[in-house]
Amino acid sequence: MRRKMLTAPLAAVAALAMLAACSTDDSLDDPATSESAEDPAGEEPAEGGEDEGEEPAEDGSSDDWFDQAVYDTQYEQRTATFEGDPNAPHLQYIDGPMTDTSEFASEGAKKVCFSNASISNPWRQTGWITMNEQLKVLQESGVISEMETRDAQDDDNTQIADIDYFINEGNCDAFVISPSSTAALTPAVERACDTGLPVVVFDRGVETDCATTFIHPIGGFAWGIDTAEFLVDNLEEGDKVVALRILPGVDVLEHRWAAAEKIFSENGIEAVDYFTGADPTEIKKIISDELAKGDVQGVWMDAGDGAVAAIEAFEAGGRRSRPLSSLEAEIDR
Amino acid sequence: MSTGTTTVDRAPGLLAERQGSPLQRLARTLGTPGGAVFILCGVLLAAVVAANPNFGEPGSLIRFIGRTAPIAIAAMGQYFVIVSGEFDLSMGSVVTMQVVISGNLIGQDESRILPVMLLMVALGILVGLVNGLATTLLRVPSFIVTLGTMLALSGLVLYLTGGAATGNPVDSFRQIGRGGIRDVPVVDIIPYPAIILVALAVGAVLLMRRPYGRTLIAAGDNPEATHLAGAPVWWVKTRAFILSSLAATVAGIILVGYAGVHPSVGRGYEFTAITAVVLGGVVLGGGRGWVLSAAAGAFALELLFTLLNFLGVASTWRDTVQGVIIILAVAAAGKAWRAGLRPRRRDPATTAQSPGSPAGATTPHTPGSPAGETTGPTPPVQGTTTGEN
Amino acid sequence: MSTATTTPTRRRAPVTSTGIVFIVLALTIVAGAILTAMAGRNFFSPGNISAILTGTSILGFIAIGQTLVILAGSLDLSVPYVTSLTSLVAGVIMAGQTSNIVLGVVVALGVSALIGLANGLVVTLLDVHGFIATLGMGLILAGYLATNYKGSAGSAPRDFRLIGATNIGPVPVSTLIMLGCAVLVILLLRRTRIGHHLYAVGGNREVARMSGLHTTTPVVMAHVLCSVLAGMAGLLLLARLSVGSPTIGAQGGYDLMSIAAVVLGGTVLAGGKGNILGTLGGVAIFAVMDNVMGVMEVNPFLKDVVRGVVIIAAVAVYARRTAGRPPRFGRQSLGDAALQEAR
Repeated sequence: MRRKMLTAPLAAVAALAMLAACSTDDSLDDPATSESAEDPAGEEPAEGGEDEGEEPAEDGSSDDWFDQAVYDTQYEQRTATFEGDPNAPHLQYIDGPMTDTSEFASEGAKKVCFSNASISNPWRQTGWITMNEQLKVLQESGVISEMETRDAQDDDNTQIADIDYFINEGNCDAFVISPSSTAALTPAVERACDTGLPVVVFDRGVETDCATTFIHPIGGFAWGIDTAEFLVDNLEEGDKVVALRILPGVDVLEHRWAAAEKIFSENGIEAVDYFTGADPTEIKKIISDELAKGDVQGVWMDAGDGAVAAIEAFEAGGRRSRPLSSLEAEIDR
Repeated sequence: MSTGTTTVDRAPGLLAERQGSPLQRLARTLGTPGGAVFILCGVLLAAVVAANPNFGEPGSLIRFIGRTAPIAIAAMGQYFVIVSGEFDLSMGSVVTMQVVISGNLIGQDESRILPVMLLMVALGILVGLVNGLATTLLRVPSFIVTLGTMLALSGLVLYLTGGAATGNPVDSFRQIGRGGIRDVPVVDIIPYPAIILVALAVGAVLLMRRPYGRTLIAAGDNPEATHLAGAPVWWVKTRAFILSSLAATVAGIILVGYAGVHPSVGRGYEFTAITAVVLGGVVLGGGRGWVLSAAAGAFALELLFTLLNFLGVASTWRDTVQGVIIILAVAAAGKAWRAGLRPRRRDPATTAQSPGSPAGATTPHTPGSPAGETTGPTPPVQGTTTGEN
Repeated sequence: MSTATTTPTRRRAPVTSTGIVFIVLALTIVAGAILTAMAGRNFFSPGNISAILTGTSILGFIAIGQTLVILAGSLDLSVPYVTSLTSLVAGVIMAGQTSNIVLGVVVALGVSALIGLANGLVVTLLDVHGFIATLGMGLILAGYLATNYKGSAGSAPRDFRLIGATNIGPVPVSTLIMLGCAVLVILLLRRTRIGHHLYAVGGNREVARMSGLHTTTPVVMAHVLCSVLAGMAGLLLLARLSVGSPTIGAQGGYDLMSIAAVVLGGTVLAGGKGNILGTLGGVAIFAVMDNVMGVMEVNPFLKDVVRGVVIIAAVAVYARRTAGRPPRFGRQSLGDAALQEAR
């Protein structure tokens, strides 16, 4: 188990001080030995908290994404009450342990280096825009002097190079890292930790707890549980659900499906899954073909931005529409 | 046959092609790669219907044709470029660009449909023009040119739209891809995309029978000879690129209607289109193949995917099956071209003694005659016969 | 047939493109240094040079292999999947144990060699165009990867990861290995008979055959070496990532980018003309461009626009310099279908 971190809006990070130090090129401690910022407590945590929601059990490799312990934790977290000020919902969080970050306290505006996985989907776009707005606020209040951003365009190797560049050349006071994948980015995040500067990891996790702060959503299992239970409530045993998944191999998405698949099988619902690449054309073809095979009682999606295409496929097929379960939909009509 | 008979006039290949009863000619045609794809389509269709009888109903079939229309149209566009000996890798980006443009610019305002569609056509022509001119006048390999435009276009579109394409165009515009003529007996509905496909296919066949089409195949088969025969190869090829981009534009318009706006629409379309063209027996490198075979290749590909789906093959294996199929299809087609066409392939060699041949190309002749118009250079004749089989 | 009339005149075209490649590279570096200085950084600092060189190593391996295949008149679009597969195979075999490193490397490179052999045989014996043969092989591997690997797998032991993380001065060891491979391939092309045959077959397979060369061997060898070098890139990625990843090759877009780098390096896409040195220059141009755009915090979408425009513009410059009409990919002037399809 890892002791876990908390969460701080990256804003706060900049308020932390830097410890300096330049890392050497070959700092490749194994996760077990990496000793790093062990700081407790701190800042305002956001939703999330406990532990490796995202990571598969052993060394990042897992052919089976289902993890009962994490599943149970997330099952509980779905109904947990938020802590923190209800008037500031963006700062609320679920029972994450606090880390003391007072050792990083310092004066003056600091430079933040942000290594981003990509801005290649609407969710990341929205986050990127929000972040820049928050940056303006923090710059005006003199907390952050500047934020240098490198975008890896969804390539693990590029992001590793980006982080190394920040360590060597960035003159950074703090690192903010949104990893593009879980296991592959672990060594690079450890190198960032070894500089002694505060490191904030958010969204997808890494397999080290060296980071000062880790902010992550409740996790894929909770998502899968909520969406699958909605369908189970609306369907009967023996009904058929088509599951539309974006792509294989991304931990959060695999967890969503792992949880949903478990719930479907427990409730006697037949589920067939497809990969769509989020392409509405594919979605529509898949639903049409499924309707040609036989009736479909429900649709489950691991992200909502193709929902319109799925619904339209039912219309085109002359069927009444069916329960469709997904979250984070960006349906704009 | 051509060895001794010098009295047979200049296009024995053409005559051989015209010999025999219509049935014999049909059989011969189906033996070529360009014809075999239609048999493949038939076999796959039978297999799909066997796996799922519902699919065989006229209503289902016409819907299938409707939804396959955009890729078939894209394949026909890609055909023009490939048969002229080039590649168009920018097709997918053009589809994405048009999808995003229609989403962002048309919005819910019906009065904008026409001007925006004109803009999309203009942009399609522009992209094709850039691809074509960079390939022909700047002499950059088309693979590289269109790779460059692919990167540049998709980057530009994502940059200008902030990466998140939103907004669905107004329903009346989307009807082009979603709607159809309703209450038709037997099939219930004839989707507009199917009608567009048929119209474009007829247009493409007519175009390939015109001098332009013959010159295009000639340009792919032997650019030097075509050039020396007086045809403006650069402009012939540039028009092929424009046709390809316009086909991608039409595919984009249909896809917006069919499925809506998303930046992933069109991703990988260039490789799917090339695969379809190649499945249709069209030879990479140019000079050989029939435009309808390219469209049939698209149907074969979609039928294959549908079959795999109905057979319950895990969707992750789909790529593997596709890979095996295209290698086998091209290997078989290559064998067939070489084996089945051997007699005809000898004809150009024989006619090489005649004025219109590649051999004659060293001494430019008939400078005034519009090259594509005549059967002058042998390659066009050869191409024409393959083009019509 | 037309072979006799058209081709020989072309072979006289002056081969000066490598010089131009390095002029372009020098210009890129100058522009990069100025832009970097304007952003308040030092382009020539050890850290930055190390970053640029690291950026060259992986694409470098793949582009060297791609050069061989293109010289032989073929193409390899399957490299990203070979890269991913080798990173997984080696990672799973090593499983974090130092004692398994040799076995992992040998098996991984063996697997990639077999894939290359299959590519080469399909191209030569079945006479399938290299574009289609390797596109198909790429799809076959992609399906296998997606079906059998759900996310990253395996683990590289610490000793192996050192390869990806050690520097000698500002020069990463990985870059040195890549340059070592480049030297070996250059020697192969310049000093060995099969190297010369590779150029001959790529330049004109029919003429090479009629000259008594065995045309199959050089093409198969080029494909095998290309896959093995893609496998080396996979091993290096394993060292850098510490785990094998089924998507790492596709993430880098190494298929099209390596072809672009080869052509940027002055090698003719139709085959028979070009060299490894130019390719290294092409890879370096990309690395410098990416580095500068990173320092300038260029919008990631605009980076693609810049890459696209540079590819077209640079190759247009080379094409202008080459006299006559340069052979185009898949050009039909040889009038021989068998030859066409093999290219």
